[in-house]
Amino acid sequence: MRSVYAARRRLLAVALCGAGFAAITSLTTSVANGQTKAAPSVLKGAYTEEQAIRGQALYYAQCLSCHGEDMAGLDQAPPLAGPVFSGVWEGESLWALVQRIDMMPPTQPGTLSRDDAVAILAYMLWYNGLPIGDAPLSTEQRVLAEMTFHAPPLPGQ
Amino acid sequence: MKPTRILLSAAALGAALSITTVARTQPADSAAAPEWPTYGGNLASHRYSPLDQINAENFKDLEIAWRLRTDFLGPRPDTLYSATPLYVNGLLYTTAGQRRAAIALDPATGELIWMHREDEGARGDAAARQGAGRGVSYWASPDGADRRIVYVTPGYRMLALDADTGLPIESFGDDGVVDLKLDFDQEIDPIDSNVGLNATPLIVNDVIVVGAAHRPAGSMDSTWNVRGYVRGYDVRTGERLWTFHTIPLRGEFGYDTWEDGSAERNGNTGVWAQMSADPELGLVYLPVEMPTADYNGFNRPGDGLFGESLVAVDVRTGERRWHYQTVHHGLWDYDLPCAPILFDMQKDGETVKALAQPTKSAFLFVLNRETGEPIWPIEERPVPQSESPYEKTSPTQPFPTWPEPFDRQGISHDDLNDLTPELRAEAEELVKSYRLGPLFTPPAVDTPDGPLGTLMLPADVGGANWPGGAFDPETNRLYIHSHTAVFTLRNIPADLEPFDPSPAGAPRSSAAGGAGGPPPGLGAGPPGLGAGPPGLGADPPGLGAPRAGTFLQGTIPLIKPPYDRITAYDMNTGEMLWQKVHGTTPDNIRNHPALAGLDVERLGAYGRIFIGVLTTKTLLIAGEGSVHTNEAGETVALLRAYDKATGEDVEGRIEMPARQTGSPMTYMHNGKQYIVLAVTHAGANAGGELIAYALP
Repeated sequence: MRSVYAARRRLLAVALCGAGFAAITSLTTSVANGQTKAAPSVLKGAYTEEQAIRGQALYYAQCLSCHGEDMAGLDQAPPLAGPVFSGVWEGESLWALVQRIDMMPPTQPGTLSRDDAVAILAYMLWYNGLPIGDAPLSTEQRVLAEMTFHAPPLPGQ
Repeated sequence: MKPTRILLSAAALGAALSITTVARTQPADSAAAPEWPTYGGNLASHRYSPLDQINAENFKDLEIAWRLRTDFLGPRPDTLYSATPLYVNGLLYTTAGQRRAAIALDPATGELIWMHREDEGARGDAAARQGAGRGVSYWASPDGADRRIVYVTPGYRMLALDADTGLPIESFGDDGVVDLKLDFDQEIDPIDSNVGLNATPLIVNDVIVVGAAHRPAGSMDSTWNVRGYVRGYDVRTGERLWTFHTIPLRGEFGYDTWEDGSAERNGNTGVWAQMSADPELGLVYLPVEMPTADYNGFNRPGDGLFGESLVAVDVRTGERRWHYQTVHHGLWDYDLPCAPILFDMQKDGETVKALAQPTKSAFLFVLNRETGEPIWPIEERPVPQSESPYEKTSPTQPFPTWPEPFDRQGISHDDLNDLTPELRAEAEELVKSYRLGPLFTPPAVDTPDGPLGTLMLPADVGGANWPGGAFDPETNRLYIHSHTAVFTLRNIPADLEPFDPSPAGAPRSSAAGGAGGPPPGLGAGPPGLGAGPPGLGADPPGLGAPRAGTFLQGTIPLIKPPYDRITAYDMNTGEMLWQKVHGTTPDNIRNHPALAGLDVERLGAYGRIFIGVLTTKTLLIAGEGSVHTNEAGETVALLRAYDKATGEDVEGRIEMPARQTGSPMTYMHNGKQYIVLAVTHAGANAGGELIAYALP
């Protein structure tokens, strides 16, 4: 499954959104005495940079050859970022996404550890334009089940 | 009623299990009712039924008659349930679940009659084509006493089951099983070799014809892949009768179309699509895919027969009668995706045995099916050439001059989204980073200063794809669904280097799709991440900036609508009769503030939408390929019907709980007409489901 891909990077000839990372904030939930911690929102930073980088390495090793460097999908492999992806997953729980990732790669389903599946999800969130936060994305089912996927706000919203 | 029978056998590869809950003494009814005995409705792949109990007046009254979730038939839910059941022998037959169980259902209720599963262990896990597959094939002896269901497992084994009980036919192959990784005219690994099939076999004149499919070839590690030879088997014994070498052996016709002896070092070139057959002519029509790899032909200079060709083969001997190549030396993954539609054309006062082969590139190749001669002229026209010195682009490609293509071909500034002036301006800015061009523009070499790639329209997945079209033999009209999406095609800079033709040399297929990608507003990564010189290497680049997608304002396609459509042709004249936008606009386009005030309710569904259509006496029926939110806030996809003469919408809003992923079929059972189709749910409810609709 390993694919040797040229590692490339470039600043893209697209307008960078003014909101950008200035708008990124950390988790807005607070933990006070006796209060239950609310599940963090993917729109406000629900994973760490470290997680996303680890997820990227896993993605390059296990996912990229079919889903593409830009997560646009290829042949039978669906896109993992962008509007077609978010059209399917908008409002669905992150636990459902982790379960879906756990079915991958198709020839070795169920072989990713929970940590790895969550790291890949973190990289997917990053690629979908969702902000980095201060706390790592949980690997616990009950926490992930309470978190929902949302695409980043559209320009003008 | 007999008691439940359970057969457990310790097969070499794992356990096989058949469960029979009901043993019937005779088929239920329907001596006169039309059956649906093959995947395509008949061997001509018409997807047509003369039934008319469900019609334009009552379509709006359709209700769900029964539903069957497939999760319990495999270790995980289906992710793209694409089967079309058969209705024959008074039962409904199909495959279902991630383990591709064969099942028989009560057509009135969906109740399980029998089930056969194969646990293929490591061989199944390594399957080149996973999942439930597209269904099964049926055969009956002339006296009707011997009735069989034939299908191919994920591990590429062919089974023949008793159609009444689901128990393996012991006289077929090795206790009901033929190992398709053997007797293949090539040595391949018995467990993890890259070959399988999710299409149904085709049975004609007592011969089972079996194709071959591989893992998607954009991701091949080497061009030395398994060859996708096609084979014929005796339906009674499972004996191999013939093998057609889709990559010719030395000395065989077509070998010299592989320059530099490259036939010796290439694979794929299988038939992953459905096939059609003419029992009277004794011909089976093979829509052949491309050689390895999808977007790079360095290792296969020349036209490469029978890549991307339609081949007519004698079903008794496997000998080639004729062939027609639809793409020479393909670089676009425009391989033949579906069964050709066979029909008798009324032309100039004569009846011509013809066929129409839909393509991903949105052509209909209309040929005489006896001779392979074009019905209307097909011209070889010059096409753009690759800038890589190692890619020997074909100087010309075949262009059917008639009928007109059923979807847009090539991309120019005229194709850019112009729903608003602002969107048009953004689109113009975005395409400055890409190469535009006509159909068959080769991949651009993606260099730091150069374009990000070639924009390709139709996308690699079409145009048309595996569902193919439908045909009404009473009026000789053909219907086909297609979708209009952009794909980014690129070579990497290494493609400017010489190619290593040894087994270790990767084919460097490096295209990237255009149906995804992040919103262009995403900013650069945080400081300290992913800095460093751009260059080649196997390591991930670190979090820099994601690649741009081909969307405007986050979610609006770069190109102008419509995004999916159905086209109708008169096949006596080739004239296009009508085109109709099919799908409801997805939420994230429909509700976009940049489109406020515009009528964008039905621009079509965007993305990888594969929709099969069904024709009945008066209707054309197809579900939507993506979901949207209705007024009640529910996630739905519509089952739509059209007046097949005019394309007008038929009254009625039939909301399905998930998107259509398998082509619909219909049957009459005990006086009631049913429409059955496979859908796939996403998210927390993920999984496949068969849904049957009928009148109250």
